[in-house]
Amino acid sequence: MLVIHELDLDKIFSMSEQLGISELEVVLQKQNTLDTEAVKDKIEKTKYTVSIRLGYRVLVGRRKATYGATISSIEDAVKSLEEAVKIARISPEDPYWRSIPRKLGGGAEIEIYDHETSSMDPNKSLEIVLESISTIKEHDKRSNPIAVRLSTSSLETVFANNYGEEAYRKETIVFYIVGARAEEAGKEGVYYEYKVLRRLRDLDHEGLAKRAASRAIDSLYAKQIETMKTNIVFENKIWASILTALFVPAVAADNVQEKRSPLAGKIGEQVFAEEISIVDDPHKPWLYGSKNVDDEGIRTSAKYVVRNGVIETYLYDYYTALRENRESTGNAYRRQPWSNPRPWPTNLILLPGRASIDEVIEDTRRGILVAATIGEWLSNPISGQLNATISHGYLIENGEIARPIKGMTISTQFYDALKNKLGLIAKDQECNGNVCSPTISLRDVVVAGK
Amino acid sequence: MDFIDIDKIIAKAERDGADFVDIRYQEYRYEHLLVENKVLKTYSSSINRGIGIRVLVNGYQGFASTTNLSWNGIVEAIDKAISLAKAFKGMGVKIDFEEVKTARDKIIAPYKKDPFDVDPDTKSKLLLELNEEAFNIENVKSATTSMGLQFDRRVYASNNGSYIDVTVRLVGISHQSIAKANGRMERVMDSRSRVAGYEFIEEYDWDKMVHEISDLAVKASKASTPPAGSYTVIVAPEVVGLLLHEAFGHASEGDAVDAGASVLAGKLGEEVASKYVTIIDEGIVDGGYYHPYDDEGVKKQKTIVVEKGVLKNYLTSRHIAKRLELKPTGNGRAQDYTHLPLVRQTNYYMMPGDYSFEELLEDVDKGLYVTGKGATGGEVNPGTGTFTFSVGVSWIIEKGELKEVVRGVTLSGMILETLKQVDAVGKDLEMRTSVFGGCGKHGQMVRVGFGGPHVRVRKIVVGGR
Repeated sequence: MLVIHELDLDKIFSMSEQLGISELEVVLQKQNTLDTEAVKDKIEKTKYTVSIRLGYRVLVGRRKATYGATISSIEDAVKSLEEAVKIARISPEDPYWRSIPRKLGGGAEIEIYDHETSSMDPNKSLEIVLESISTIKEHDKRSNPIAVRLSTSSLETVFANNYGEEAYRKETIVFYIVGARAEEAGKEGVYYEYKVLRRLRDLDHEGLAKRAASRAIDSLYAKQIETMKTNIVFENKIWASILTALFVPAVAADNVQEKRSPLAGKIGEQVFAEEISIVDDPHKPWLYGSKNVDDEGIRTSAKYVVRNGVIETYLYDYYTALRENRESTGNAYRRQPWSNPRPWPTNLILLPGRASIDEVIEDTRRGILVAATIGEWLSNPISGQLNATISHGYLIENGEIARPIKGMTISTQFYDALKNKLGLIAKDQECNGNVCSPTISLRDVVVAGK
Repeated sequence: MDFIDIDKIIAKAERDGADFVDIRYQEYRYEHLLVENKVLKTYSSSINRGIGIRVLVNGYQGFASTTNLSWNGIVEAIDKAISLAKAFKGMGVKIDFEEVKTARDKIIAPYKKDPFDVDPDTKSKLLLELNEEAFNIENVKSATTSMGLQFDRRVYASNNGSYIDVTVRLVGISHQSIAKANGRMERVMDSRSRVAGYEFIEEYDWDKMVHEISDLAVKASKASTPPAGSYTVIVAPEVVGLLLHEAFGHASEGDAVDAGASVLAGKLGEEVASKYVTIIDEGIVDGGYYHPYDDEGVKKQKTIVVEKGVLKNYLTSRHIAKRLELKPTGNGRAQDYTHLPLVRQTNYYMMPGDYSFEELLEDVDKGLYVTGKGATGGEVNPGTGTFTFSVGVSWIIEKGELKEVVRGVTLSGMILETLKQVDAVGKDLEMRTSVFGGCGKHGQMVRVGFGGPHVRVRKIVVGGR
């Protein structure tokens, strides 16, 4: 039996029988994090956190409870189990309940753990933050850092159940954010760049810091323009965050089953233009959403979600899969070890096209290049209404970037746009968390301004 | 907190070289019940306990936290905090805290019935009944109802002798109905939470809330989106609260000002809003969250941020107060024991004026009335003051009267321009808090209260079709 922090899971499982538990799933997670943060050009904070979190999914027949705790000892774990059973016993039955996962582990080996990141030296972390600061300062006399933060974590998770199955995942995560501010003649511009990665050596902190500085400078003289219907180019990362807000919830099987998805009943239908293909691929090395097993310990697999505009599958965890008498797609996600799992993508990737960025901009002729938005996550995944406010953008005139703009609000129907208004898909790719996208363009979208 | 020896921790940290030590122990219990389409899908309960130790060694700060509350676990955390502070020498900067009075206090936010003593069965039955109620309106296709119950005990201790022990219970119910009409789906959600015990759950008229949400969802699914452009808008209290919190409140946080990431930097004493606007941040307000002390042992004062349009104060923590040469306002707050405090709002609201709702409407020839039911929130860039909000179900106003229902409305603009467009403020005041969420900043979520009266804004950009 695997042991994290000397916690003996065998003891827990033998106790579960005495307590009258019919099924028990245990998720045990240990996380170590080192965090370094600078404000303006000074580092003021570093911190180190250790946490051990335990989650139970407990069944008494079809009566279910999830219970969790941070723990210091086996006694804490035992006490938590007793509490969990108390709740499960008097919970109403879930008529859809069939079972906790019967087969765990066995997934491919995926590269998501990096020793260098895991054993990060605080001095190295301080160095990266300091280098980011000096990059912004040296970039241009108008640019200064607002904040830099680097966080590196290592996580170990054990999934086990009373069917004697278990799975294990070991991973590292790097989070980096850098903000720059530009000032000139009473004008101000601000820009943030961020990145979530699996290993430190993939972090180009100087490149990101430079980009934050140059975009902050660009936005110094950005202006709002009139309300119009126009062509829009979305930079890769922005479109990825729009996919996260609108498409990801719509393909999660729980939302489909509970009638909260506009894609319900549309398997096999052409919902997007033919150029659109989207995969869920957990096996890409070093991507943030990659994993050997999902958050129920079930092996993951790569699949097409949309092929040439046609929806091929929704994403399932074990519970939603059994509701439709099919197999889990290995897409269980838990926010915490004690959260109820739900389906969510691993790496959701909109496949790149063939155009270069220059070609996309040239093809647009007149329109807007969107470089940063706020509020795109407020879009409505149930109606498919896309809303986002452009905080950093550029006006495109005669197929070329003309001048910076800001403060315009984009409103369009996401499904209509990707089916009937698609312009070009570029060949680049960038990820925003676990969703990756190329740069894409849309035609005839309403943008509200002055 | 008898099982953790605070004095022993402080003594060890001091022995190892700390000039300053503060300790935050927290026990956070949360229960969440979720009913989806008449089935209880989740009954989840958790206890999160841990300790965070902050030290200054020769003026350099180190911080470590752990969930391992055995003496060995705590020693490891002290050692880490001290070694991080030492590693800082030569690379980081020294920091300093504004002095505050030593405080010793124990406070339990008022409640009658401990929500964690109530039988799980009683809770799930109520939620199942409410969820059923949602389907009594035709065309409702999906309904989700949840209950959240929180117990948050925070103990703060420092080597200047402060010891503050605060416990806050927070309870609430939220509901979402999804309706479909003419092949189009729309959602409306709303919730009510209160710093109280389970008696709030027993006393509030949840049936009415659920019924109204379903009714609005059906109306919204049949509604169209208004044409994009600039409008005169009457904003409902919960949206005023949200807008103020996001678009102005964050910019008034002293750390944003210090970092040069606030549009309000350098504007103390200047006019930043119309003369009808007065903005307050206050620790304890009826309907809001309960925040008698911050996470640095500072008693929360009533802070007047804007008075009749003029910027009077920034919000501060002890460290930021020192930096900006201001007084600590009791706004140094951390999500939990794993984080260092940041400057955060507590209960942030606009003071009421003297207009009735009818008087606000009277003067509007063509405009919009926007409410929060179905609103999903907002985002702002405090550095530029650009904001965007997705509001809920709204009404077109024509010649002083509410006409057709519209949906999919977003408001956006630059906050300082928008607040100068406020030309009338209602006499009502409504405060809210939520057990289902809070405010996020730099990866930390804290509970907040927000609110205001009905407010009229002469001109604001509305995204639409």
